Amino acid sequence: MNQPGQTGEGRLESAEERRLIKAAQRGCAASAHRLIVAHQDRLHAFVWRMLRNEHDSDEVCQEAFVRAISNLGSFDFAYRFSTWLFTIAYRLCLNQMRRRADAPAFADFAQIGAPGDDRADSVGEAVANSDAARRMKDAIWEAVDELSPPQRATVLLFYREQLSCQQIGEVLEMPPATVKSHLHRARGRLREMLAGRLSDDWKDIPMPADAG
Amino acid sequence: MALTCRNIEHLRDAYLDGDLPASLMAEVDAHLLQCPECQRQLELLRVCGNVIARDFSEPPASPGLASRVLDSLPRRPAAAPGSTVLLTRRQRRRIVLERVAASAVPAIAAMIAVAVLAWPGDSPPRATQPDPIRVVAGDLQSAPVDVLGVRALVDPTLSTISNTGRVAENLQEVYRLTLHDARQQFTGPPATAARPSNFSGALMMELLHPLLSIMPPSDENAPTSEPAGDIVRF
Repeated sequence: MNQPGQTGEGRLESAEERRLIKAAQRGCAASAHRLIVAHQDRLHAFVWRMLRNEHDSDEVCQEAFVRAISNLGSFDFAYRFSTWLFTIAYRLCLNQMRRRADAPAFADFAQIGAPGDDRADSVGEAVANSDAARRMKDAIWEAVDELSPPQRATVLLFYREQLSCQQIGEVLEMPPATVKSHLHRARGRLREMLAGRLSDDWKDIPMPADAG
Repeated sequence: MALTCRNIEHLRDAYLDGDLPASLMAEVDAHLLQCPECQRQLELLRVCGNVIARDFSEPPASPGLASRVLDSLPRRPAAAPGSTVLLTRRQRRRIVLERVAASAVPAIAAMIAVAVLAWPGDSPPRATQPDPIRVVAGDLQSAPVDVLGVRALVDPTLSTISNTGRVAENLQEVYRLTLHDARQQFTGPPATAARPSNFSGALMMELLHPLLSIMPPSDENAPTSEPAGDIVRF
């Protein structure tokens, strides 16, 4: 399974990350390279979930890293580097969505899972499970795609990045109370969207007690 | 009073995130045991959270992303002020050496200049000094203008003060030039300045620059206007 961060060097210890940031601030290219590799898959996963377009995700990711590294001098060590990175990336995602909305044909949603799509095959293989479990996961991600951008970002940062509402508020530039509201509504919508679709699938998934 | 399904709806997020107080948590659990529908709703959301947190089915970042990022970052010397400029280890070592040399060489030159200027020069011949006071049986034999030997005491003192002042002025000039040079090394545009390209040539220039500037005949090439902040007051 492709786990973000594992294709690089995994999540950095905070002391190590701090050392790399300070070295990169002094102009050390090797340290900047390590910082990027350590965060690239997690950031790319977030951006890809936001945009659902591989080409756009690559562009936004690269731009986010360029901005983060070239402005490293103004980085505040009171924050986590990933929080700062996600903040930049989220803004770029919103800009990209606005641009895409203006364009006549933009999304490659239809290509995801289409026959002959290599990337869809690799994604499918990564989720190596029973058909029922795979259907469940696909349904959940499709429901996540239907959420509004702030709701989707909130859900991803809350569950995937395990950020607090306070930290998510820093990324999305909104008060923690608004983040809580987004999270509450996102959960409500997910439940509405999935309740009908998964009712049959739920019954098909073998429970641990049944397996034994 | 037992909780209703509507109560559970309001407590849903706090329950899922473990933010409920223990007593309320037990109340919700008690309701869930008797209400399969609420149990199913909460379980659905819990599964959603698990999938979002742990199903890493997104494609990884494209290969070479880090290198492309580093390649597109600004390089010396075109970088905007305040932006981070990345360098290889070799480039960084060279810059550190240049900066240390640029800061140290004028300082050494300043010390040499101070030593030269402060060295005791040829003192006036002793013969020209007025004779010390000689009083013989109440009869003054020396010149009447130096009855108490004041000139013998005051003249060397004034000479010393004058020399000290001159040294101080020269020292101030040396420090001013040194600071200016050091500041230019750290903040100025190194590529545009007319500097020798090779490192040893640069060292020689740095060594000679302060000395040439403080030569007694005023050097027309010496910088005449400096930022006020760079001048060191004694």
